[in-house]
Amino acid sequence: MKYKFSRFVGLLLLLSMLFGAGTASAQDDITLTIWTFGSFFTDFYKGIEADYKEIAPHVTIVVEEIPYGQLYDNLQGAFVAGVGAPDIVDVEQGVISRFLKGEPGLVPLNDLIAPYADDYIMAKTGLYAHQGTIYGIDHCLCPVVLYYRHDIFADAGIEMPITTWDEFVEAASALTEQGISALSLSDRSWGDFYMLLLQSGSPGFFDADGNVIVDSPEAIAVLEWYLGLLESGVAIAPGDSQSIYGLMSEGKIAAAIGADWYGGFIKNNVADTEGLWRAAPLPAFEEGGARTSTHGGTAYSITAQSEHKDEAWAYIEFALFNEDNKIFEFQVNNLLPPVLSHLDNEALLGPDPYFDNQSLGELFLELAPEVPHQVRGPWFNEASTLVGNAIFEAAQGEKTAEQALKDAAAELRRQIDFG
Amino acid sequence: MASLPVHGNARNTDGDRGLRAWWSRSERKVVPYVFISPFYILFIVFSVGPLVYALYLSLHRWPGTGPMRHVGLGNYTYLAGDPVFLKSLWNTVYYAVGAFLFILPLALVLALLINSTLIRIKSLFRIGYFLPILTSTVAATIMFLLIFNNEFGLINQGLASLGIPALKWLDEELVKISVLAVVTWRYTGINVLYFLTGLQSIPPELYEAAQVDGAGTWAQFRYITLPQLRPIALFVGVVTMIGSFQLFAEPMLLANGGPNDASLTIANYLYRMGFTNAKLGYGSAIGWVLALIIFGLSFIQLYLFGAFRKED
Repeated sequence: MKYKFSRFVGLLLLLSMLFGAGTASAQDDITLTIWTFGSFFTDFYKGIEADYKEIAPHVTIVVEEIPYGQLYDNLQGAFVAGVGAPDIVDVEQGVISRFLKGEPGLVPLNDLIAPYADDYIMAKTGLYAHQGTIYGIDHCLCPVVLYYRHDIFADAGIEMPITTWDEFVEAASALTEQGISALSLSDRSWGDFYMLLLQSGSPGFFDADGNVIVDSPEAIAVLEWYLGLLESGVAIAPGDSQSIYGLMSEGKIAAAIGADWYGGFIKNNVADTEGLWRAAPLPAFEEGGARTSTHGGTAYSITAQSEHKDEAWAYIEFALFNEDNKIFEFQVNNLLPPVLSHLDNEALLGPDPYFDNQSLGELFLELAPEVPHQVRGPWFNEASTLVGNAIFEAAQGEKTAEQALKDAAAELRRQIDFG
Repeated sequence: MASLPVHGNARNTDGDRGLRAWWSRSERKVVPYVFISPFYILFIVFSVGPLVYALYLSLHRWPGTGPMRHVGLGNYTYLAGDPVFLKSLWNTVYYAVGAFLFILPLALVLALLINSTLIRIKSLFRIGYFLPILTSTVAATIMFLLIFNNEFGLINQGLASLGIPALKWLDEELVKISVLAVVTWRYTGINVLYFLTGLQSIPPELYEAAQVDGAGTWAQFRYITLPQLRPIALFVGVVTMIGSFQLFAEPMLLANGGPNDASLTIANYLYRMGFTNAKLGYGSAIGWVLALIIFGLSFIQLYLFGAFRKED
């Protein structure tokens, strides 16, 4: 009986091996896993799933939506463990630097993006690069413009758009006299300052060789000017976004600098002012200077652990360079394509009733080639925290702008030396 | 070749016999260890293992990938002069002292009130003090963000209606008090529960005897309630101290540790270094220092409360 049973088990094993070999022979069937952090990305991936199945029937896309912070802690855990990473991951610009330390667990994408260099706005790759190696390709362009209440500016007799910041500050005094702040700027975090620093022509907190330039004369000058806006009342620092939206709704803040997505935030959070907003290029620091900046972004990255890197890139190409997909993505999550040939699509150029029937798309199309390049790398998180603190110390009057930035730079250099 | 299985079988049979003999000799000794082994296996895998590995990591600089760089005690010496770590240590001590000064006395008073005959609708109070513990920290902290909002917050609106100028609750000067307010709201209830359990375990005969001897309310509280609460007070004290030193979510959600690191705790800084900045070695060193601080303070508390004294 025992003998018969063992023969039966042996037969089963043989069959399962044959069956297993049968499935292994269908090697083309693969699964690509994508980790993302927002339903607005998940909805996009789900929306293009059926079309991709037609192009690549052997590829199954599995989208795993994980809360923002947790996603990157999990990713870090997978890199440390050497297993468990997805094929593709949406890396938000604020978290990329930690993944550029050591031996990055992400795949260099320089050769893959190179054929698109004329069409893709390459300035966006600086956010996800280290020493010339690109580890992420952005979903979005995120060009920065000046959103403003055209009714308030018109009442104060200010004609928009304004060419330079000097002219803007001068004109804004008419608003300040009425108890209205022309701008909202943060006095404790780095984002607003960074947008303006990039616009001024600086590559940010690091130069092309990765040297710390937080305390460069250019950065000090921009911070001094920035703090001057806060001191003079041209700008206000309400401290949190809910206060900003409340003051916008009350007409106490008349304008804001922000990326394409920030226009969506204003629309959603200050809905009662529909039709009263318009957008204009940023006033330049000098006549003929840059009229835009960039803020935010999320990149496609391929992990080094992926066993299907070619297929992963093929999928990214489909998602990013297929115009229909990018227009669909814009409709789903309001992210403007970072691809020049997509920006003149009719779907992006339509009038927006919230913005007084202005075509924001036309403005973004005009500014897209001016989106500034920047340098980030593995120490950006440390830099941005220190600069945020420096802005706070200077805004509180604890230090001068120069001293605050010099101290931040010294501390940053100390941290980089420490490793 | 045909004889091999026979030899094999014979060996197996001998082996089986040996195993059986060993099992019959050792069964009584081994089985209890097998029964308690799940805890120890989990404890070693998820607690002791990571602790030892963190100690190893703390002697290195490592971003999680690539080669580790051995630095000896370099992370610890850097920590001793790291201004942000020292700031986070001071903030954490502030929260711990605040918890002892506000939460524990408040919890004791509430427990005494609920335990007394003065309060009628006890179940209502029980729900009231326990609800904050059941509420999600994120949801509760977001609610407090709205309350503390500079421009439109409930508190500042209330102050404005009294003609008092608005205060910046989340700025450098007041942010720690705001964090402490959230923590007090959240953790007072659970401490009321502990104290209530302690109060209800005091034998009523003690109070009856004291009343017969003419002791007043204060004398009963001073000479019966407080001494009888000593074991529970020790427990509450140690748990509060450990909880305060591990405080993470409230300052993170309320002010992201800021502004200018004014509300940052050691646990927040550990996360920032270990995860956000991918300095696993340095983060591990912070973790070990935090563990040693908690161990040391717990030891002192236990010693002061006489936990190591032999019972007479």
